[in-house]
Amino acid sequence: MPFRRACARSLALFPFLVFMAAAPHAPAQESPYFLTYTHHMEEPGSLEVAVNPVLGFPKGGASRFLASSLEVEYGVNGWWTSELYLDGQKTNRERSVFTGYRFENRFRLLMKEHAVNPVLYIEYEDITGADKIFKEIVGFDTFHGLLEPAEDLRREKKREVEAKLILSSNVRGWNLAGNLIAEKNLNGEPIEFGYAAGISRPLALAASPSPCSLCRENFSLGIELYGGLGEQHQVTLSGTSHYLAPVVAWSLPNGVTLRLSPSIGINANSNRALVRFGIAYEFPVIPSRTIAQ
Amino acid sequence: MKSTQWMMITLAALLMSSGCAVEPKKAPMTQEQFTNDVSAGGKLFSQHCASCHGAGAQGTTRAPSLHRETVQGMSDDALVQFLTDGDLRKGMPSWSRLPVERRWQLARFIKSFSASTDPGTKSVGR
Repeated sequence: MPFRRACARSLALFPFLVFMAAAPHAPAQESPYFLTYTHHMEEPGSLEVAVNPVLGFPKGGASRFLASSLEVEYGVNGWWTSELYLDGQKTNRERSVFTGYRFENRFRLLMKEHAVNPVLYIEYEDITGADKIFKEIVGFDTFHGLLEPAEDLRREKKREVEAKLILSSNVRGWNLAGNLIAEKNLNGEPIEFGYAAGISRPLALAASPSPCSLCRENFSLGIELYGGLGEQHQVTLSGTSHYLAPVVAWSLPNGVTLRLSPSIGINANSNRALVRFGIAYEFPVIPSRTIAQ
Repeated sequence: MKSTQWMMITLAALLMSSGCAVEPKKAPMTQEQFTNDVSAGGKLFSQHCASCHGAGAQGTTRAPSLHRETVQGMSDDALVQFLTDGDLRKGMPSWSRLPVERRWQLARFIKSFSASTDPGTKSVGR
Protein backbone atom coordinates (compact mmCIF):
# COMPACT_ATOMS: atom_id res chain seq x y z
CA MET A 1 0.00 0.00 0.00
CA PRO A 2 2.74 2.55 0.92
CA PHE A 3 4.44 1.72 -2.38
CA ARG A 4 1.24 2.61 -4.20
CA ARG A 5 1.15 5.88 -2.29
CA ALA A 6 4.69 6.62 -3.44
CA CYS A 7 3.62 5.95 -7.03
CA ALA A 8 0.60 8.19 -6.51
CA ARG A 9 2.90 10.91 -5.15
CA SER A 10 4.99 10.57 -8.26
CA LEU A 11 1.88 10.95 -10.39
CA ALA A 12 1.11 14.10 -8.43
CA LEU A 13 3.88 15.67 -10.50
CA PHE A 14 1.40 16.02 -13.33
CA PRO A 15 -0.05 19.34 -12.09
CA PHE A 16 3.57 20.61 -12.14
CA LEU A 17 3.78 19.31 -15.66
CA VAL A 18 0.55 21.04 -16.67
CA PHE A 19 1.87 24.26 -15.12
CA MET A 20 5.06 23.98 -17.13
CA ALA A 21 3.14 23.17 -20.30
CA ALA A 22 1.17 26.37 -19.83
CA ALA A 23 4.26 28.46 -19.10
CA PRO A 24 5.47 30.81 -21.79
CA HIS A 25 8.35 29.96 -24.15
CA ALA A 26 11.77 28.45 -23.49
CA PRO A 27 14.16 26.72 -25.83
CA ALA A 28 14.57 22.95 -25.80
CA GLN A 29 15.72 20.19 -28.08
CA GLU A 30 16.62 17.48 -25.69
CA SER A 31 18.29 14.19 -26.35
CA PRO A 32 15.94 11.27 -25.63
CA TYR A 33 18.63 9.32 -23.77
CA PHE A 34 18.49 8.70 -20.04
CA LEU A 35 21.99 7.31 -19.51
CA THR A 36 24.01 8.02 -22.61
CA TYR A 37 25.56 11.46 -22.87
CA THR A 38 26.11 13.24 -26.16
CA HIS A 39 28.36 16.17 -27.02
CA HIS A 40 25.45 18.58 -26.87
CA MET A 41 25.92 20.93 -23.94
CA GLU A 42 23.44 23.10 -22.09
CA GLU A 43 23.22 26.54 -23.69
CA PRO A 44 25.33 29.11 -21.77
CA GLY A 45 23.27 30.68 -18.98
CA SER A 46 20.39 28.19 -19.37
CA LEU A 47 19.09 26.23 -16.43
CA GLU A 48 17.27 22.94 -16.82
CA VAL A 49 15.36 21.27 -14.00
CA ALA A 50 14.28 17.65 -14.42
CA VAL A 51 12.64 14.91 -12.41
CA ASN A 52 13.54 11.38 -13.48
CA PRO A 53 11.62 8.61 -11.70
CA VAL A 54 12.67 4.97 -12.19
CA LEU A 55 10.26 2.13 -11.53
CA GLY A 56 12.24 -1.05 -10.84
CA PHE A 57 11.17 -4.66 -11.28
CA PRO A 58 14.02 -6.73 -9.85
CA LYS A 59 14.56 -10.49 -9.92
CA GLY A 60 15.18 -13.05 -7.21
CA GLY A 61 12.38 -11.96 -4.90
CA ALA A 62 13.71 -8.44 -4.36
CA SER A 63 10.99 -5.84 -3.86
CA ARG A 64 9.83 -3.43 -6.52
CA PHE A 65 10.98 0.14 -6.00
CA LEU A 66 10.40 3.66 -7.17
CA ALA A 67 13.54 5.78 -7.21
CA SER A 68 13.83 9.33 -8.43
CA SER A 69 16.36 12.04 -8.97
CA LEU A 70 15.97 15.78 -9.10
CA GLU A 71 18.41 17.13 -11.65
CA VAL A 72 19.55 20.73 -12.04
CA GLU A 73 21.70 21.41 -15.10
CA TYR A 74 23.40 24.70 -15.88
CA GLY A 75 25.33 25.85 -18.91
CA VAL A 76 28.41 27.55 -17.44
CA ASN A 77 29.63 28.46 -20.92
CA GLY A 78 29.60 27.03 -24.41
CA TRP A 79 31.95 24.13 -23.61
CA TRP A 80 31.22 23.48 -19.92
CA THR A 81 28.01 22.16 -18.35
CA SER A 82 27.47 21.43 -14.64
CA GLU A 83 24.79 19.25 -13.05
CA LEU A 84 23.62 18.44 -9.56
CA TYR A 85 21.47 15.39 -8.77
CA LEU A 86 19.58 14.67 -5.57
CA ASP A 87 18.51 11.03 -5.32
CA GLY A 88 15.91 9.20 -3.27
CA GLN A 89 13.95 5.99 -3.38
CA LYS A 90 10.99 4.07 -1.96
CA THR A 91 11.12 0.30 -1.89
CA ASN A 92 7.93 -1.72 -1.44
CA ARG A 93 7.11 -2.17 2.29
CA GLU A 94 10.02 0.05 3.36
CA ARG A 95 10.20 3.73 4.12
CA SER A 96 11.36 6.42 1.67
CA VAL A 97 15.03 7.30 1.90
CA PHE A 98 17.22 10.09 0.58
CA THR A 99 20.16 8.31 -0.98
CA GLY A 100 22.64 11.08 -1.72
CA TYR A 101 23.83 13.56 -4.29
CA ARG A 102 25.98 13.69 -7.39
CA PHE A 103 27.83 16.65 -8.86
CA GLU A 104 29.07 16.37 -12.40
CA ASN A 105 30.84 18.51 -14.96
CA ARG A 106 31.13 17.96 -18.69
CA PHE A 107 33.81 19.59 -20.80
CA ARG A 108 33.69 19.65 -24.55
CA LEU A 109 37.23 19.00 -25.76
CA LEU A 110 37.00 20.29 -29.35
CA MET A 111 35.57 23.74 -30.03
CA LYS A 112 34.13 22.88 -33.44
CA GLU A 113 31.83 20.16 -34.75
CA HIS A 114 33.64 17.04 -35.97
CA ALA A 115 32.69 13.59 -37.21
CA VAL A 116 33.22 12.33 -33.66
CA ASN A 117 33.07 14.81 -30.82
CA PRO A 118 34.78 13.94 -27.54
CA VAL A 119 33.57 15.24 -24.19
CA LEU A 120 35.22 14.64 -20.80
CA TYR A 121 32.89 13.96 -17.89
CA ILE A 122 33.94 14.15 -14.22
CA GLU A 123 31.57 13.33 -11.37
CA TYR A 124 31.78 13.18 -7.62
CA GLU A 125 29.02 11.29 -5.86
CA ASP A 126 28.23 10.83 -2.20
CA ILE A 127 25.50 8.21 -2.12
CA THR A 128 24.53 5.19 -0.08
CA GLY A 129 24.18 1.57 -1.14
CA ALA A 130 20.41 2.13 -1.17
CA ASP A 131 20.63 4.38 -4.24
CA LYS A 132 18.57 2.83 -7.03
CA ILE A 133 18.69 5.44 -9.75
CA PHE A 134 20.93 3.22 -11.88
CA LYS A 135 22.37 6.26 -13.59
CA GLU A 136 25.12 3.98 -14.79
CA ILE A 137 25.87 0.28 -14.52
CA VAL A 138 29.52 -0.47 -13.72
CA GLY A 139 31.67 -3.36 -12.57
CA PHE A 140 29.67 -6.37 -11.50
CA ASP A 141 26.44 -4.53 -10.58
CA THR A 142 23.68 -7.17 -10.68
CA PHE A 143 20.19 -7.73 -9.31
CA HIS A 144 21.77 -9.45 -6.27
CA GLY A 145 22.64 -5.99 -4.97
CA LEU A 146 18.95 -5.28 -4.41
CA LEU A 147 18.19 -8.31 -2.27
CA GLU A 148 19.14 -6.62 1.03
CA PRO A 149 16.65 -4.26 2.72
CA ALA A 150 17.11 -0.59 1.86
CA GLU A 151 17.67 0.20 5.55
CA ASP A 152 20.79 -2.03 5.57
CA LEU A 153 22.01 -0.78 2.21
CA ARG A 154 21.69 2.76 3.48
CA ARG A 155 24.56 2.20 5.92
CA GLU A 156 26.93 1.51 3.04
CA LYS A 157 28.57 4.83 2.08
CA LYS A 158 29.74 5.30 -1.47
CA ARG A 159 31.97 8.28 -2.05
CA GLU A 160 33.01 7.84 -5.62
CA VAL A 161 34.72 9.66 -8.43
CA GLU A 162 33.60 8.82 -11.89
CA ALA A 163 35.05 9.72 -15.27
CA LYS A 164 33.48 9.19 -18.66
CA LEU A 165 34.79 9.60 -22.13
CA ILE A 166 31.82 10.66 -24.22
CA LEU A 167 32.07 10.23 -27.97
CA SER A 168 29.17 11.51 -30.02
CA SER A 169 28.38 12.02 -33.66
CA ASN A 170 25.55 13.41 -35.79
CA VAL A 171 25.05 11.71 -39.15
CA ARG A 172 22.10 12.44 -41.47
CA GLY A 173 19.78 13.33 -38.62
CA TRP A 174 20.91 10.42 -36.46
CA ASN A 175 22.81 10.85 -33.25
CA LEU A 176 25.22 8.11 -32.27
CA ALA A 177 26.85 8.28 -28.88
CA GLY A 178 29.07 6.02 -26.82
CA ASN A 179 30.29 6.51 -23.25
CA LEU A 180 33.12 4.65 -21.57
CA ILE A 181 32.82 4.81 -17.79
CA ALA A 182 35.44 4.40 -15.04
CA GLU A 183 34.29 4.67 -11.44
CA LYS A 184 36.48 4.62 -8.34
CA ASN A 185 35.18 4.22 -4.81
CA LEU A 186 37.38 6.41 -2.61
CA ASN A 187 37.33 3.75 0.10
CA GLY A 188 39.99 1.91 -1.84
CA GLU A 189 37.99 -0.50 -3.98
CA PRO A 190 39.23 -1.24 -7.51
CA ILE A 191 38.20 0.92 -10.46
CA GLU A 192 35.01 -0.35 -12.07
CA PHE A 193 34.18 0.00 -15.74
CA GLY A 194 30.97 0.31 -17.68
CA TYR A 195 29.55 1.58 -20.94
CA ALA A 196 26.47 3.20 -22.41
CA ALA A 197 25.67 3.63 -26.08
CA GLY A 198 22.74 5.12 -27.89
CA ILE A 199 21.32 5.92 -31.29
CA SER A 200 18.43 8.29 -31.85
CA ARG A 201 16.70 10.40 -34.46
CA PRO A 202 13.88 12.96 -34.58
CA LEU A 203 10.80 11.69 -36.44
CA ALA A 204 11.01 14.68 -38.81
CA LEU A 205 14.24 16.47 -39.66
CA ALA A 206 12.81 19.78 -40.89
CA ALA A 207 10.54 22.00 -38.82
CA SER A 208 7.03 22.82 -40.00
CA PRO A 209 6.21 26.48 -40.68
CA SER A 210 3.49 26.72 -38.04
CA PRO A 211 3.70 26.20 -34.28
CA CYS A 212 2.68 22.72 -33.18
CA SER A 213 2.94 20.39 -30.23
CA LEU A 214 1.81 17.02 -31.58
CA CYS A 215 3.86 17.08 -34.76
CA ARG A 216 6.56 14.64 -35.79
CA GLU A 217 9.39 17.15 -35.47
CA ASN A 218 8.86 17.27 -31.69
CA PHE A 219 9.35 13.52 -31.19
CA SER A 220 12.65 11.65 -31.07
CA LEU A 221 13.03 7.90 -30.95
CA GLY A 222 16.08 5.89 -30.08
CA ILE A 223 17.57 2.96 -28.30
CA GLU A 224 20.17 2.67 -25.56
CA LEU A 225 22.40 -0.22 -24.54
CA TYR A 226 24.27 -0.09 -21.25
CA GLY A 227 26.00 -2.36 -18.80
CA GLY A 228 29.08 -3.25 -16.78
CA LEU A 229 32.53 -4.16 -18.04
CA GLY A 230 34.05 -5.62 -14.88
CA GLU A 231 36.78 -3.97 -12.87
CA GLN A 232 40.44 -2.99 -12.86
CA HIS A 233 41.89 -6.49 -12.53
CA GLN A 234 39.14 -8.26 -14.47
CA VAL A 235 37.80 -6.41 -17.50
CA THR A 236 35.12 -8.75 -18.77
CA LEU A 237 31.51 -9.12 -19.80
CA SER A 238 31.14 -12.28 -17.75
CA GLY A 239 29.20 -11.78 -14.51
CA THR A 240 28.05 -8.28 -15.50
CA SER A 241 24.53 -7.03 -16.23
CA HIS A 242 23.27 -5.37 -19.40
CA TYR A 243 20.14 -3.54 -20.49
CA LEU A 244 18.49 -2.61 -23.76
CA ALA A 245 16.21 0.40 -23.62
CA PRO A 246 14.03 1.94 -26.31
CA VAL A 247 13.64 5.68 -25.65
CA VAL A 248 11.12 8.26 -26.77
CA ALA A 249 11.19 12.00 -26.13
CA TRP A 250 8.55 14.61 -26.79
CA SER A 251 9.86 18.18 -26.79
CA LEU A 252 7.13 20.76 -26.46
CA PRO A 253 7.70 24.21 -27.94
CA ASN A 254 7.43 25.82 -24.49
CA GLY A 255 10.55 24.11 -23.15
CA VAL A 256 9.03 21.03 -21.52
CA THR A 257 10.44 17.65 -22.53
CA LEU A 258 8.81 14.35 -21.60
CA ARG A 259 10.75 11.11 -21.91
CA LEU A 260 9.98 7.46 -21.44
CA SER A 261 12.22 4.41 -21.57
CA PRO A 262 11.43 0.84 -20.55
CA SER A 263 14.85 -0.79 -19.99
CA ILE A 264 14.82 -4.53 -20.35
CA GLY A 265 17.45 -6.65 -18.63
CA ILE A 266 19.09 -8.78 -21.32
CA ASN A 267 21.09 -11.29 -19.33
CA ALA A 268 20.76 -13.43 -16.24
CA ASN A 269 22.43 -10.85 -13.96
CA SER A 270 20.17 -7.94 -14.96
CA ASN A 271 17.05 -6.76 -13.22
CA ARG A 272 13.88 -7.73 -15.08
CA ALA A 273 13.02 -4.16 -16.08
CA LEU A 274 13.69 -0.54 -15.18
CA VAL A 275 11.02 1.81 -16.47
CA ARG A 276 12.32 5.37 -16.64
CA PHE A 277 10.28 8.55 -16.95
CA GLY A 278 11.57 12.06 -17.36
CA ILE A 279 10.04 15.50 -17.11
CA ALA A 280 12.36 18.39 -17.84
CA TYR A 281 11.86 22.11 -18.13
CA GLU A 282 14.48 24.40 -19.52
CA PHE A 283 14.41 27.92 -18.17
CA PRO A 284 15.51 30.41 -20.78
CA VAL A 285 18.67 32.43 -20.35
CA ILE A 286 18.45 35.37 -17.97
CA PRO A 287 16.29 37.97 -19.73
CA SER A 288 18.48 40.51 -21.38
CA ARG A 289 18.10 44.14 -22.27
CA THR A 290 17.58 45.00 -25.90
CA ILE A 291 20.27 47.20 -27.40
CA ALA A 292 18.87 50.46 -28.69
CA GLN A 293 19.21 50.76 -32.44
CA MET B 1 43.81 -8.82 -21.40
CA LYS B 2 42.78 -9.18 -25.04
CA SER B 3 39.49 -7.36 -24.43
CA THR B 4 41.42 -4.43 -22.89
CA GLN B 5 43.61 -4.23 -25.99
CA TRP B 6 40.55 -4.25 -28.28
CA MET B 7 38.96 -1.47 -26.21
CA MET B 8 42.11 0.65 -26.53
CA ILE B 9 42.30 0.09 -30.31
CA THR B 10 38.61 1.01 -30.76
CA LEU B 11 39.05 4.08 -28.60
CA ALA B 12 42.13 5.20 -30.55
CA ALA B 13 40.28 4.76 -33.87
CA LEU B 14 37.32 6.82 -32.65
CA LEU B 15 39.56 9.59 -31.34
CA MET B 16 41.52 9.76 -34.60
CA SER B 17 38.31 10.09 -36.62
CA SER B 18 37.34 13.11 -34.50
CA GLY B 19 39.66 15.23 -36.64
CA CYS B 20 37.36 15.03 -39.68
CA ALA B 21 35.20 18.16 -40.03
CA VAL B 22 31.52 17.86 -40.95
CA GLU B 23 30.22 19.69 -44.01
CA PRO B 24 26.68 21.07 -43.94
CA LYS B 25 24.41 19.95 -46.75
CA LYS B 26 22.23 21.98 -49.03
CA ALA B 27 19.44 20.85 -51.35
CA PRO B 28 17.82 22.73 -54.27
CA MET B 29 14.28 23.90 -53.54
CA THR B 30 11.20 25.58 -54.97
CA GLN B 31 10.04 29.09 -54.08
CA GLU B 32 7.20 27.64 -51.98
CA GLN B 33 9.61 25.43 -50.05
CA PHE B 34 11.86 28.44 -49.55
CA THR B 35 8.96 30.50 -48.12
CA ASN B 36 8.00 27.62 -45.83
CA ASP B 37 11.62 27.33 -44.70
CA VAL B 38 11.76 31.02 -43.80
CA SER B 39 8.54 30.65 -41.75
CA ALA B 40 9.84 27.50 -40.06
CA GLY B 41 13.14 29.28 -39.43
CA GLY B 42 11.20 32.09 -37.73
CA LYS B 43 9.57 29.55 -35.45
CA LEU B 44 12.91 27.96 -34.63
CA PHE B 45 14.42 31.40 -34.03
CA SER B 46 11.72 32.17 -31.44
CA GLN B 47 12.37 28.87 -29.68
CA HIS B 48 16.16 28.81 -29.70
CA CYS B 49 17.68 32.20 -30.47
CA ALA B 50 15.35 35.03 -29.45
CA SER B 51 16.16 34.86 -25.73
CA CYS B 52 19.76 35.93 -26.49
CA HIS B 53 19.54 37.85 -29.78
CA GLY B 54 16.19 39.52 -29.05
CA ALA B 55 12.76 38.84 -30.54
CA GLY B 56 13.60 40.96 -33.58
CA ALA B 57 17.22 39.72 -33.73
CA GLN B 58 18.25 43.32 -33.04
CA GLY B 59 20.78 42.23 -30.42
CA THR B 60 20.81 42.36 -26.63
CA THR B 61 23.40 42.69 -23.90
CA ARG B 62 23.98 38.92 -24.27
CA ALA B 63 24.36 38.55 -28.02
CA PRO B 64 24.86 40.79 -31.07
CA SER B 65 22.38 41.90 -33.71
CA LEU B 66 21.93 39.53 -36.62
CA HIS B 67 21.14 42.45 -38.93
CA ARG B 68 24.82 43.40 -39.01
CA GLU B 69 26.72 43.27 -42.26
CA THR B 70 29.09 40.64 -40.85
CA VAL B 71 26.12 38.25 -40.53
CA GLN B 72 24.09 39.28 -43.56
CA GLY B 73 27.19 39.28 -45.73
CA MET B 74 28.03 35.64 -44.91
CA SER B 75 27.33 33.00 -47.52
CA ASP B 76 24.49 30.60 -46.68
CA ASP B 77 26.97 27.74 -46.32
CA ALA B 78 29.16 29.74 -43.96
CA LEU B 79 26.17 30.73 -41.84
CA VAL B 80 24.99 27.12 -41.52
CA GLN B 81 28.51 26.05 -40.63
CA PHE B 82 28.65 28.80 -38.01
CA LEU B 83 25.33 27.61 -36.53
CA THR B 84 26.74 24.07 -36.52
CA ASP B 85 30.00 24.97 -34.78
CA GLY B 86 28.90 27.92 -32.69
CA ASP B 87 31.61 30.02 -31.09
CA LEU B 88 31.90 28.16 -27.83
CA ARG B 89 34.59 30.36 -26.31
CA LYS B 90 32.49 33.48 -26.86
CA GLY B 91 29.21 31.98 -25.63
CA MET B 92 27.51 31.14 -28.93
CA PRO B 93 26.34 27.52 -28.53
CA SER B 94 26.69 24.87 -31.19
CA TRP B 95 23.29 24.11 -32.75
CA SER B 96 24.40 20.77 -34.11
CA ARG B 97 21.73 19.26 -31.87
CA LEU B 98 19.25 20.51 -34.46
CA PRO B 99 19.18 18.44 -37.66
CA VAL B 100 20.99 20.16 -40.53
CA GLU B 101 17.62 20.75 -42.26
CA ARG B 102 16.56 22.97 -39.35
CA ARG B 103 19.87 24.81 -39.34
CA TRP B 104 19.25 25.64 -43.00
CA GLN B 105 15.77 26.89 -42.12
CA LEU B 106 17.28 29.10 -39.43
CA ALA B 107 19.91 30.41 -41.85
CA ARG B 108 17.29 31.23 -44.49
CA PHE B 109 15.25 33.09 -41.91
CA ILE B 110 18.27 35.06 -40.68
CA LYS B 111 19.31 35.94 -44.24
CA SER B 112 15.75 37.12 -44.92
CA PHE B 113 16.58 40.13 -42.70
CA SER B 114 18.52 41.56 -45.64
CA ALA B 115 15.17 42.55 -47.16
CA SER B 116 14.14 44.37 -43.97
CA THR B 117 14.73 48.12 -43.96
CA ASP B 118 14.12 48.73 -40.27
CA PRO B 119 15.56 45.96 -38.11
CA GLY B 120 14.22 47.50 -34.93
CA THR B 121 10.60 47.01 -36.03
CA LYS B 122 10.89 43.51 -37.50
CA SER B 123 8.95 40.91 -35.54
CA VAL B 124 9.61 37.21 -35.87
CA GLY B 125 8.24 33.83 -34.95
CA ARG B 126 4.75 32.94 -33.97
